[in-house]
Amino acid sequence: MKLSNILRNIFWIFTALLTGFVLFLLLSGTKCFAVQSESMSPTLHRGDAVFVRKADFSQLHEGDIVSAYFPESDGVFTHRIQTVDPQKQQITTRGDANMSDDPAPTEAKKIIGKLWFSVPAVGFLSLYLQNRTVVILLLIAVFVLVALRAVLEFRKKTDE
Amino acid sequence: MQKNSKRVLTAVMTALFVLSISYFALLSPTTAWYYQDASQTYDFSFADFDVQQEANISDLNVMLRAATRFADVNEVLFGEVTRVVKINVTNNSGERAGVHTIVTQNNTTPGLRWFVYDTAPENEILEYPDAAAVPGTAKSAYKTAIETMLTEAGVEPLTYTGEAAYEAANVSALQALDAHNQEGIVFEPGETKIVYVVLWAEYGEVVSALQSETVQTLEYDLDVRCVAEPYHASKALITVHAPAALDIVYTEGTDTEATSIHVDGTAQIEGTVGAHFRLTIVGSGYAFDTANTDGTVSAKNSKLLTGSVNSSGNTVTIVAAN
Repeated sequence: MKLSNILRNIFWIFTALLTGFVLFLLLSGTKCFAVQSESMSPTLHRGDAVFVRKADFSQLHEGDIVSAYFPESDGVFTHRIQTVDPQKQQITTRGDANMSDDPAPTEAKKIIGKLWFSVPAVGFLSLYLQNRTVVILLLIAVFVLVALRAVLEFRKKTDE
Repeated sequence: MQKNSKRVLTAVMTALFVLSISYFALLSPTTAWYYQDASQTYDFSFADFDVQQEANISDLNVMLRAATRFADVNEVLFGEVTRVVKINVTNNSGERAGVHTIVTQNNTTPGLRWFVYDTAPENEILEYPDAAAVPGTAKSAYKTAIETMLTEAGVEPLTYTGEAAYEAANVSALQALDAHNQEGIVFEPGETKIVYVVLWAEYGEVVSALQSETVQTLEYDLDVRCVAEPYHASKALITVHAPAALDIVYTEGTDTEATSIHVDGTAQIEGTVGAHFRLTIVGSGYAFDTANTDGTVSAKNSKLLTGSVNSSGNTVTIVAAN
């Protein structure tokens, strides 16, 4: 078997697995974030990708790592639960690298979910590609070029 | 497999690959303001003053992410804007001592500012979005200290709208900052406390290097030097020549000494060389004339003057204020 065929097959298999994984994440409602700071080191490091699954408040316990929205803005933080207050429906959190709890509790409605797993370094791509408009335009351009090439190849063969 | 099918499949797989990679390329960030570099803590114990007592933190590499302003409203990346170096200082000398902290930058990255203070925060972590919401946290402690210092100097306090105080062109703010950092911290015999050196990047000096929505890192190579010296209460005799209605209060450390007034508008300060003094005009109608004031003097504003005693004394001129 030619090397090019082997490589192509590897590419197909990898892409199929990757696509399946992304589809699973999307269909299961799992959220993925790129860790931007070192507040959770050594557990999580900058550049890690964290995968977070929605969880009921009753499923949250001390020691769980959760992602939540900041109370006053749309930003997201991922820290470890220190205490759970079922009556007030809120939690207190702390980054593993910090010496104190976060200064304000987080309400249940701001909690996105509980950490399912993390993958090192996968988040670096999004951290460095900060200009989303450019990224999207580049991806559209690549997509169009690939589609165009496929169409031209097909038409060429058809004409032949 | 037919060639056509292979080509189509390759195209489809390529498109899927690009889409899958784009999922990870467009991840939202998760971050937190609640981060303080706890690893940058140093110890400095000093004792015998027969030899120079100093501690050197050489080649300190500080990375600041200058994506946001020090006082920006949302402060999403505040934890990436400042660094706090903590020096645990102990006075084992048996006498009162003054500790000066000097920061020297060894590279040319612009915009470095630093502020030395010794008030332990109630909460070590950095501030929540609204700076006024959670008093006692580390950021509010040194932010308050900086604001107090600037207010005394007659400069706009550190707020989002008052950020102009930190523009590079604002000479008074820079002078006030330099003067404050030169003042040093007093240690009683046997006392231990932490000296905080707050480091940040002056947004106005680095903004041209920043792109919108892009985080860039500013790298500073620093030496931080702490020098301990015996603290001498100044024996300065201050003779102030000004109209009789004017009072000038001389303050050094916690010692306050009112002075008498004479008439020709000049204050002569004599005393232990290097001793710090602080003059405040109480009352209206008069101001320090810093243009005609010589010696080691840092002009904070027309009502407040600080400096250290020269070997030949200092001359301070008081004039009628406009």
